[in-house]
Amino acid sequence: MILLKNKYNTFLFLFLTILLGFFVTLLYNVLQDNVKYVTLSMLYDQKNELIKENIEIDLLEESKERLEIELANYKDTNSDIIIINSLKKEINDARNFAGLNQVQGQGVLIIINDSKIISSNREASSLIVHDFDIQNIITDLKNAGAEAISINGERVVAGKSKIKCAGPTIQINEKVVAQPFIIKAIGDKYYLEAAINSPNGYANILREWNIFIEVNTSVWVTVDMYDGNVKFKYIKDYEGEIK
Amino acid sequence: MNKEKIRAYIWIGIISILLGIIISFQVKVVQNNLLSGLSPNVRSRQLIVELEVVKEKKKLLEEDVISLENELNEIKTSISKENTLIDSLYSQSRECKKIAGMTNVHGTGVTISIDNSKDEYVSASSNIVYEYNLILNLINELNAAGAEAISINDQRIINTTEIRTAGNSLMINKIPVIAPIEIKAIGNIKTLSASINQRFGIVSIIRDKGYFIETFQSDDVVIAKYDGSIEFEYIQNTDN
Repeated sequence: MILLKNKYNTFLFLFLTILLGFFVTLLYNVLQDNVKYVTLSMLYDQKNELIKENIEIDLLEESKERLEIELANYKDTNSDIIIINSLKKEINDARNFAGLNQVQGQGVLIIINDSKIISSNREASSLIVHDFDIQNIITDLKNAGAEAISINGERVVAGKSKIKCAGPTIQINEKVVAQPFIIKAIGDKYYLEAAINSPNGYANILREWNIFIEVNTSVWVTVDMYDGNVKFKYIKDYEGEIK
Repeated sequence: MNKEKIRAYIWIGIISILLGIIISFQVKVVQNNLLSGLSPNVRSRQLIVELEVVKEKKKLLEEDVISLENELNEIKTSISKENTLIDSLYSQSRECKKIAGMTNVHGTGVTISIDNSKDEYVSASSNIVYEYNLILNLINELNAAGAEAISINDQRIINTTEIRTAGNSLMINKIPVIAPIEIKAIGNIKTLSASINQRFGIVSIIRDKGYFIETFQSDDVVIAKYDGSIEFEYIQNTDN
C-alpha cells in the first residue's frame, strides 16, 4: 500500500486507529449492562438513609445496654428497697424529661425588651417584641442544645406551652407576661451564647430593628418546673406493636 | 493521481467518519448521563448492600430491645402485685413517662404528608428540608390547636426536640429526616384539621410554595415513643 510508504501517512493512520480503539472500548464500557447510571439524588437518598439507620442503631444499642443493666438489677435482688429506689430514679428521670422538675445548671440569661429608640418613619409594631420573635429565639436555643428553657419563669414544654400574642402582652402556658422578657436556658453556656450572638441568628434580626437584647452566660441558672395542666384528653396508651 | 493513492485517502476518510460518529455518540452519552447528575451504579449498589446489612442489624437490635422491655415489664408488674408502694410508684412512673413522651400512644387525630413537587423544574430549586421554618410553623399551629402528641417521620416531638436543616436533611431528635415527611398529631380531629386548613393557613402557604401537602383525618393515629438518649448533660436537680 502506498499509505505505508509515506511516513506522515503511517503516523496519521496509527494515531487514528488508536483513537478509534480507545473510543470503542469506552463506549463498550458505557453501554454495558452492569454499569447502569443512577441519579445523584437517588445516591443522596441512600446515603442519608444509611446515616439515619446507623444513628438509630447507636441509640438502640444505648437503650439495650440500659435495659440490660436495669434487668440485671431486678433479677439480682429480692429486696424491695432497691426496686423502690430504682423506680424513684425512673420517675425522677421522666419528670426531668417532661419538665416537671425545677432544675439547675450552667446556661444563659437573655433579656429582651422593646426598642427605646423613637423614629418617626417606623410603625409602632416594628418596635415591640412579638410572640413569633420569642418563638424564633426559643428555636435557636433548642438548636444550640438547650436542655431546659423558661420565659419569665414559665417553663417551655413541648405540646403544652403556647406562646401566643395577647395584645400588649404575650401569653405563655396559661400566664400572661409582659416585657421585659427574661429567657433562661440550661445547656452549654458558650453554645447558647453563640446561638444568640451569631450573625445569622434570629436575635441579630431583632437587633437590626433596635430591639434591646442582651445575653449573659452564667454557671448557675435555675429553671422552674412546669406547673400547668398535665392531663391528657385524647391520648390513650398504645399496647400493640409499632409496625 | 494513481489508483493506490486514492484508495489510501478513502481509507483515512472511512476511519475519520467512524471516529466522528463514535465521538459524537460518546459526547451525547456523557451529556445525558454524567452532566445531568448521573453516576455509575457501582457506588449505589455498594450502598444498597450496606443498607441491607445495617437494616438487618437494626431489626435484630429492635427485637432484643422489645424482648428486654417485655421481660422488665413482667417483672415489674409481678413485683407490684405483691407490694402496694411499688405498685403506686410503678403507675406514677408510667404516668410521668407518658407526659415526657416516652410511651407509645394512640388516639384520634390527623396525619399530614408533605413531599417535594414531582415537577422537575420546581423541585430542582426547592426542597422542603431547606424550609424548616414551614415545618416549625406547622408544628406550632398543631400545638396551638391543642395537639397532645406530635411526631415527624416517627420522631416524637419532646421538650428538647430541635427541628433544623443540616446538610441535605432535617435534623429531628438528632436523626436526619428527608422528604417525604409524615407528621402525625393526636388531639381533637376537627380543631386540628380546621386550624391548619383555614384559608391562607399554613397548609395553603406550603401548597402555594409548590410542595405536595395532604391532610387526612383519622380515628386512630398511632404515635411511637421517643427512643433516643435520655441522659442530660447539664441539668441537675434542685434540692426541693
